[in-house]
Amino acid sequence: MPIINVPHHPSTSISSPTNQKYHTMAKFRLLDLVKPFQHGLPEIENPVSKAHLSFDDRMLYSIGIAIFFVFSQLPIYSVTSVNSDPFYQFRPLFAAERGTLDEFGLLPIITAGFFWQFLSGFRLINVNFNVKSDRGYFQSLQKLTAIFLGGVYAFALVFLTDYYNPTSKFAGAIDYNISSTTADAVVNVSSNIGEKFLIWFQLFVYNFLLTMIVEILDKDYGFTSGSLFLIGANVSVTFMTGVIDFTTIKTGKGYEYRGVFIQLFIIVKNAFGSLFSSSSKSNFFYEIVHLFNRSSLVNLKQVLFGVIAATLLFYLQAFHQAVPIKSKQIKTQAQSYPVKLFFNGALPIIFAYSVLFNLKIFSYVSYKFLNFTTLGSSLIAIVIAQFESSSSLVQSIIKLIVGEFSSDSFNPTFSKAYQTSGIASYFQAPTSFTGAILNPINTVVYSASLAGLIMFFALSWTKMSGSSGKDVADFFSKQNITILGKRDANVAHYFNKIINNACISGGLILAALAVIFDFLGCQGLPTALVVSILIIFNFLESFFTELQQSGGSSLYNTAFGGQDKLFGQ
Amino acid sequence: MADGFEKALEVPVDFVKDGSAFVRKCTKPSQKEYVQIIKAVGAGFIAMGVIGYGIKLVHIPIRYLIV
Repeated sequence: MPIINVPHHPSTSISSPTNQKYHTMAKFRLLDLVKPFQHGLPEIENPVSKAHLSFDDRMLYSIGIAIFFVFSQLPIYSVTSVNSDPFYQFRPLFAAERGTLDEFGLLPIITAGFFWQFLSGFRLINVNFNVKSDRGYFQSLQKLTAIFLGGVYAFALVFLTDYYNPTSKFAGAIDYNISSTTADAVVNVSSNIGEKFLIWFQLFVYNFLLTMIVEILDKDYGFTSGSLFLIGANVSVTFMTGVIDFTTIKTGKGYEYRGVFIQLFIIVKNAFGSLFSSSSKSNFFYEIVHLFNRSSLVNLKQVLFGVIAATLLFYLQAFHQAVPIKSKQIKTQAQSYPVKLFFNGALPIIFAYSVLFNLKIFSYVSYKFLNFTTLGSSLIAIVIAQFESSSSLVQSIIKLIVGEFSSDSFNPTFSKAYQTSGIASYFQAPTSFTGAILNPINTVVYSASLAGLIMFFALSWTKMSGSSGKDVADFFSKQNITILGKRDANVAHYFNKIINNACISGGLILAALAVIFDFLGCQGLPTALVVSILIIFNFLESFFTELQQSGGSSLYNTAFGGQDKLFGQ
Repeated sequence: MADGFEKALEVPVDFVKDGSAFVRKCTKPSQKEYVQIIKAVGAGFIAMGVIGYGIKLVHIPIRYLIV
């Protein structure tokens, strides 16, 4: 039983910053902007006390919400089909299911949380985390931004692009009365807007509900940060579905099993069958290569690298340096405070990809808006008319900034949109291994920027979230704890160095994994698996800590008895 | 030119040095612990995934009913 209360890596949760410095604020603060909304905004109440909420209840909340989340991936009403998918790379990681209410998944919530955390961490806005009302305002600010961002993304995708193809349910009903062609055109336009609004409304309301649901888990009803927990749960479902799904679907090649292992089994079975009959020849190697590279469904390559990544991560996540600590007041045995290799958990990867996802949304929407809508193309025409003398130059500059997308169109159900030109195309992951080799500049720029982003967040997150070496040292000195064999003055320096090094090595490993998987054209699934495993370990860590503290009153004690040594300190 | 290039490489090289020094000093899991972790977490991951897949499977006909 731990006598000294050691903080359990506060850095791995997005929404609850801990030790921030007090700042006196004289002038107007951005935080005050939320005050008028504070009363109107629904809020999840904190549990009365932790004692009221038993361990089993919290487990129930977590599982129930995960199940709800899987259930909630409903197709949008009044959408017949969606256009080719530009966000395929980010879908596994952000639980963003194409053409469903989860179109952006957890991106608005993560972007909002990370954006404000970033600003407050670098002192660009003043938040005093020691005051309860300020903490409340800060949370409301994050929530409001998440809801707002969800609305903005949905608006951009629905109204500014042709991503969704709405049905014309309303138009059909009116057709009886109006026969002239001009009237028909008017009806079509207006009904189109009505349908688009309906799509936008569904996306917006769902994102609002999701924000509230994530808040339930954030506020002590769960074990870890809500959005991270949902990512972890969703990736495991996506991955296992990709492996064992036994339903078939028609792809460019014909009917295929969605599950990689099922398809593999069928191929092997057919190959065996053709050995003994001379009539039917099965092209075994062609089938295997196709399964390895198929882009419409989860392929063998993704599963293979996912498994490799998982076995590696299971080993690496246990790496830690134990710092021996001792209370100065009570005579106890020395204990150890572990500084883990992945000190920030999976957050650096998630943040880096959320930046790239936002960039992708921006470039896709601006390309579609400027090229395919009347408003956008007339805007361009106006701009070009302004520079009459050098219109071709302006045109090429616009093209460079906006870029171009093209889609592989073999099957509309699975088609993906790739950015083929423009600045932002250099920040797009290589589409395949051969693509990575054929476009070396793209590959190098993308890899360098991804690795740079991951390293940047790995190094700066501790400072932003209040879990840097100095903060840990402050916490220890408040609790009258010291490092064995170190003077008090050296504690902060020591922690700074060790935590910084942990962040560097953890960040390097994560960056290397993410870059290698994208280089091989794995399209995000193995990276999502890496993230999910780190999240699951973080979850289990707090799960078993709580289990110990619940003192044997839980159902799960018998089920998991003895395993807590693996995850506890 | 060569100087600038070397300087740009300096930071990553330092990172690798510091990082590998940290990893070398780390406590690593024994083989027994590793197998235990794989068993426990792997089983949990697969169970969660399979349950989720089951839910999705039930979910598909419901989708057709309500949408």
